[in-house]
Amino acid sequence: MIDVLCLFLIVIFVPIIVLVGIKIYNPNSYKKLLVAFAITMLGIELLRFFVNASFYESAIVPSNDLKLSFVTFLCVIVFFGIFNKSKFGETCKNIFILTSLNPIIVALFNSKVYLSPFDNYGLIKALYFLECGFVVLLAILFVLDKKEEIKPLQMLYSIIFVLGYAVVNFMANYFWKTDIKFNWLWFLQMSVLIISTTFVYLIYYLLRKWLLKDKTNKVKNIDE
Amino acid sequence: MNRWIYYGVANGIGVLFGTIFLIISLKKYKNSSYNEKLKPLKFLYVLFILLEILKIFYHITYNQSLSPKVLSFAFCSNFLYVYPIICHTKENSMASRICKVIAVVPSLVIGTLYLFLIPKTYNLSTFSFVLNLHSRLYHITMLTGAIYMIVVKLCNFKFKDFYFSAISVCAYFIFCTVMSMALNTNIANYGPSSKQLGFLYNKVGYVVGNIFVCFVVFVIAMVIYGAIYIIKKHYNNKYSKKND
Repeated sequence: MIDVLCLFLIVIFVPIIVLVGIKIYNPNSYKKLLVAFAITMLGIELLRFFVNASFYESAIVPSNDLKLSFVTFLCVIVFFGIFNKSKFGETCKNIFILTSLNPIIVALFNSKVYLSPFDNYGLIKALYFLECGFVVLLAILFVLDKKEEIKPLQMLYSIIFVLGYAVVNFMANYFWKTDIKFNWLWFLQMSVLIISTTFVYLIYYLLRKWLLKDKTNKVKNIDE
Repeated sequence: MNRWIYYGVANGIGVLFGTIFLIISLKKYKNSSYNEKLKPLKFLYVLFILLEILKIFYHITYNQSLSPKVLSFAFCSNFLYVYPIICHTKENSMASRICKVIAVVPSLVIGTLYLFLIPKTYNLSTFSFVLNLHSRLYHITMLTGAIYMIVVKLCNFKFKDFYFSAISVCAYFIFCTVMSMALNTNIANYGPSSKQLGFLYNKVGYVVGNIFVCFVVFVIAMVIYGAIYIIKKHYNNKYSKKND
């Protein structure tokens, strides 16, 4: 319960602190910030892997404690979203935005994603929570940087992405013989991951509608 | 001996020293040039380097050994390292700006806490009293140095600079955390066995607890800068009304 509270507090405060800094210093473009935070997130992910590996002797990473998670996939597609200017890059950006809550959901369903019996300082837990915070922050920066709106079709691509993650998760746990059981809870987790993309799209759509309505009202008042 | 007397004497000596230092240095250097204003800070850091050396020798003499906890690697030891940088770098250099906020912002909070927080338990031995006196003198002088820097305007307090100062203090705090973990002790930061923050670290983990402390640093920096901004604005408004 305490871990869940910590996760939510970190996911809320990390974007708030960075957005306050953006408000104060008012950068011209978000590109440099996006690159910096994406590299930071990748660095944290690599650190998380190596720290976990260091708990085991002979420098062999035990397969069933690899800490492979949804956030690992997001660390890869974020760079396509930033550097690829084609439709594929735009799609990756939209997928990243729509699946930004999924690392949190994965952590809620399966605490082994961030817990390790040898983690005395809680370092892996802290790194995973920070990554969840950076994912939400990057999603917000992507939305602020976007010129076109996200079309409903992008939800379909996000769902395909989540299904791809589900397949990889199934194969990794099956062939490495981990103690993850493919019961109703596992299917529920994957279903919630898919539903969350719709939920994020709904929030994005409603917020965009409300902000644009606010802008047009202000323009009308100025014209009058 | 009553604990109020025990800590009162230690605090009293610290406050007396701080008051005399502030009166003399403000009278002499308040309206001087930037380099002249740095002279009291030079005096402070030389004095406290000497006191730290004396403390280490006192420890070695009394215990016949040297514990890492005695060495000046704690978070509050920043005073010893940032003051020389402030005194020997250019006024508007990045190093000077960063060191000024690291010297001032934590000192205001920690120095004030040391003045008013009296522990319930204490040790009556001479060894413990000497170390306690050193600690109180050190932390209250941190506060004195911070007040001096604010009053003579060595450190400018524009409200939006709270962000820069919060990041600098957090970066220093993270450095202390990494050092504590590398040395496998809590000498640089409070750890799971400490009375002050042990409850936090034992509940949520050491690193997560330190992340929360960083969030608190942001809030504290915003409050300190906001309070100074409001006081300055009130003082400027009062002064301009008098002139009118």
